[in-house]
Amino acid sequence: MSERNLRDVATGLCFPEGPIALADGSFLVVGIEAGRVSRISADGVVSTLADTGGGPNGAALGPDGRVYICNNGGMAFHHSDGLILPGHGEEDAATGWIDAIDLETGVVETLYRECDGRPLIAPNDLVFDAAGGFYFTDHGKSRKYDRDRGGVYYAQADGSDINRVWAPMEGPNGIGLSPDGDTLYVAETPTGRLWAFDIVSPGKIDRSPGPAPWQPGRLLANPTGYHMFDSLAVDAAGDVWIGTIPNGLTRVSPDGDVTYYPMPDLLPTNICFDAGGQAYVTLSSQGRLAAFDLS
Amino acid sequence: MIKRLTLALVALLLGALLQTAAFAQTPQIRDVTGNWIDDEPRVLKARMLPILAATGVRIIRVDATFARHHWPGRDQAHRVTAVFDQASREWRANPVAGAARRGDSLFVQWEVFYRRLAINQPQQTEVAVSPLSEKTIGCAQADTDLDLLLLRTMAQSLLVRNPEVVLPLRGYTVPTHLMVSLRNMGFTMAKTEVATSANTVRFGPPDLAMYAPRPMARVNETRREYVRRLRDGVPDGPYRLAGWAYAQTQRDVRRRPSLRCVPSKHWFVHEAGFHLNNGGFLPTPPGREGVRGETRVVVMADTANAIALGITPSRSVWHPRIWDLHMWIDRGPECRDLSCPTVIQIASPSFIDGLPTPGNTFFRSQTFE
Repeated sequence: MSERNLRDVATGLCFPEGPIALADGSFLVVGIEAGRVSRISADGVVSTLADTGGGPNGAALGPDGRVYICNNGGMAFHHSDGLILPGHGEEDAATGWIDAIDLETGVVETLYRECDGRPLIAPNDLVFDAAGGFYFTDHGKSRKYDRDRGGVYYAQADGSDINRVWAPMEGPNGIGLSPDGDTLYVAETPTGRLWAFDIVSPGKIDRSPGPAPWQPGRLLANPTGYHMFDSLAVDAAGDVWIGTIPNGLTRVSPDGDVTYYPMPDLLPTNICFDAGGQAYVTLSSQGRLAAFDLS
Repeated sequence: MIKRLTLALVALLLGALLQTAAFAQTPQIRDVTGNWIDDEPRVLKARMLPILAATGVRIIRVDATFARHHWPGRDQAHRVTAVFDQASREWRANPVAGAARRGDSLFVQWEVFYRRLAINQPQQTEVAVSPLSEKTIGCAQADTDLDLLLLRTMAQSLLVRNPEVVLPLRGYTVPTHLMVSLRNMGFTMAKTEVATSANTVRFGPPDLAMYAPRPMARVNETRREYVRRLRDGVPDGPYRLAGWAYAQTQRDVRRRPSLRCVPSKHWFVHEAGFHLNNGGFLPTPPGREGVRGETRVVVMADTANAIALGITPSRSVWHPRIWDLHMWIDRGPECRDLSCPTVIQIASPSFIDGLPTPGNTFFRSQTFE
């Protein structure tokens, strides 16, 4: 896929992720570097919805009309050759949290900072289910010589309850649900694996042994070659689209068939679809949100 | 002499003009009530164009008439007498609206009772009326627009992943009108919890998904065949999403459900009645209502009643009166895209084929608060 297949929706964004296509053609997007959640009008004008601080990393519209944000607590960036590039975390980096933002007022409510007494390290991405709760990944922090182990959590939108669904995972990042709501997909960044977990009830996965006695789920895709997986989105056909580092998108069918699409950016991090099926991608190192042609 | 005559003529002309003005000027009042956003005092406010003393008009009284949800006309609406506030030059009335909630539609119309002070004529009280004013309590238009956008986005993210779907649809499993398409409604799939009597409307994804029947099976399919297959009882998608809805069993005939800044005037009543398994609907309205919608029909029709109506309970589904709000995708000729603005009204703006329903199946309630 080249620039010919892309149409910019907005530029000049500060490491955008978490795009949400609203029904009027406008968008919500987080800017991790700026610590900000922005709204992009249908004609590309960017305005600030809320300054959350930290590093807003993923976003999803909740059943109460608020936008829910995974905040990774903040991370270092550096600029090189016009690109925005994330750096390694510090030993004493702040931990993250989950926010809900009122779209009318921009008022931010922090819902969760910990689970079972353990802090959320770096919440990354989230998806709501039909029951009104949401799954999210805690990616953990990556430092130069080591990194945290992450996990998947399930929480109520009103801030009343949070539970760990599965841990440990190696840098879990993108998360999504199949169209029938029965399968939870989780992409790991450093391993470049896509996992599929059968859901038995809201917030519970089938923990039967998978590829190893200690590992539930199905390893749906584990492409060869150097790559890392970022956030993901599921299209109407049930295919999983994953931002792939460097320079690509990966489409994985529910049966595990893998197709790779090159992208003209080092860090294509996140995808979303609007009601008409039009796809959008955050080209984060260039600060762009762009529509792309799936064909 | 000529000068005196000229002055007399001028005086006569002025007198005539003043008298004409006295009869020509009618008090003009207009509503300037805000939307009672946040801490704004919940008072009704109006301004009147200045009345020239020389015109001989005397204000007797100023009343505000008002109602929430539905405008029943000035005679039926609530009424309160206003007082003049010298500082703001406004007429103000306290509508005792403490119970009003955000999103309630508020209708206001002002009345000015006045007399003309004419010599040698009986002094009759006349009434000047303001245009009807309508607002949504606690909400600016931008708030309403945003809430509608959010509801649309949530519905679309759930329902519009494929514009044409084959049943069953995730989360929407109860065919409330059986597998029958109603004309300009389509057929309706509800969430399980909505099918119970304890449901409560919540802002968020819709309670019901409404589908137009499948496309024509073949080019030469006759209209008769097409309609017949709508009532064959067998789901035979793909079906095309036409709209979505919110519904709540009527627990209060005046108090309507709330969806934040969606104006409450949009809620209407789905009459109590039997959905028959042949696709028909048999309304069971109360015997007599002076004000339409004033009776709460919540007693499940008993077997004897059903038999008296000529149907067997096993062949029908009965429900009480329900508050409904429909949001339709506008698929007019200018708009074939699913992201077109959503319209709120009882029936779809697009033609949807199916069985006709009795005229009183859905109606706008005349109750108000």
